Amino acid sequence: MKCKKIERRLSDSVDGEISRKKKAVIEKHLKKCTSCKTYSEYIQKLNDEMKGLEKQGVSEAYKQDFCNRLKAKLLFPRKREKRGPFPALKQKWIFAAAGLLLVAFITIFFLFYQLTGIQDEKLYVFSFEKAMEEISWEIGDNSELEALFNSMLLASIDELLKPLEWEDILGYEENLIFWENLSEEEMRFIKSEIKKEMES
Amino acid sequence: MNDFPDGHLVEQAKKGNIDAFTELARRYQERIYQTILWLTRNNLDADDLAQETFMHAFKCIKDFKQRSGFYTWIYRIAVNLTLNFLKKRNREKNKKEALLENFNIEKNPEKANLSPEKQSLRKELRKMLSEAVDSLPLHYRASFILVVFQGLTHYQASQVLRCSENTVSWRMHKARKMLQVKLLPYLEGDGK
Repeated sequence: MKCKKIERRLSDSVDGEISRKKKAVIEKHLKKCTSCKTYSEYIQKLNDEMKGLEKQGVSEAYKQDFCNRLKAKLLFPRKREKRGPFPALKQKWIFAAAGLLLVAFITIFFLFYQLTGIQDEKLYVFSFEKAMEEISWEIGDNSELEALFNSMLLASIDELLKPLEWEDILGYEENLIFWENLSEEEMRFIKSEIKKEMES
Repeated sequence: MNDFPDGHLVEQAKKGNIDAFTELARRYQERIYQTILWLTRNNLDADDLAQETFMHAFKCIKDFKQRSGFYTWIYRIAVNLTLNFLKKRNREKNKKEALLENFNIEKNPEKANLSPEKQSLRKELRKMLSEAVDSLPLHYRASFILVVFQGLTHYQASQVLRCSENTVSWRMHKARKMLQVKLLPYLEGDGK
């Protein structure tokens, strides 16, 4: 038998877990092999020392106290303490309800958002024709208002048509009332048309 | 109650007889406590786990089929609870805090006859051996404690640990090899 196998059997031998036949083989091997013999002595010594450690016992008083406490627990079993402010099961329901409420709130918010004016505001697109229509409806038959509006338009066109100065650039955005999408030629045409109308 | 065999007490306990079960607990409490103490290295934990072991055993005793002895069954509960406890809390890191020298441990009867010098050497040796056992992997330690300290056979240990006898034998061999490496200077010298 090889030394590795013998070492394994030596461990069994120390525990008294070996057959007579195997024991004889081991003893035979130990007579020839010094390293296995040394190992055998080591583990035997180790076992003896370890068993020496185990001699500690518990006192009779402790034994009695242990049994008394056990008996008391068996006679009057305590109910399991609840963890935290809610028992685990209730906590699950609370979380589920909170989740549902959150989903409902988000749904209602979006529905409200869709149905209110916010949506209209978002979809509103400026229309030059519509704006002009509304202004002309406001002016109606009032010739003074009409003259005032025409002169305002002309002034605005004139301002845009003149070469830009630095100061104009700063206030440029304020003047983009109706003309932001028109070319210079278109503005000149509108100007001439307004003048014709005013003269007539 | 004291004279009844385990089997009779188990039958009584199955019927809900608390006194019969307490008698069983009285019989095995010390060995269970010591085994748990060897694994946990903490008296308070050992006490708690020993109580929990018997509480659990009482709760489950109706399911105990008596195919093995009561002591094997109760050992199995104790070892499983303790191994789970150790895995869960990773107590191994803190085990040095509370070693064996506390409240309910009876003094070693040999100790009184030893000189202070020998007592000191003995203490040092015990510490060294304990630390070496503590350093073993959990399952090796459990096998080693059951076989060496509690005197269980490989078969009984295999029943407790729910593994084969061969596994227990292998673990014992490996544990001894590991301990030999740790304790070689001591094993080579006189040691006393």
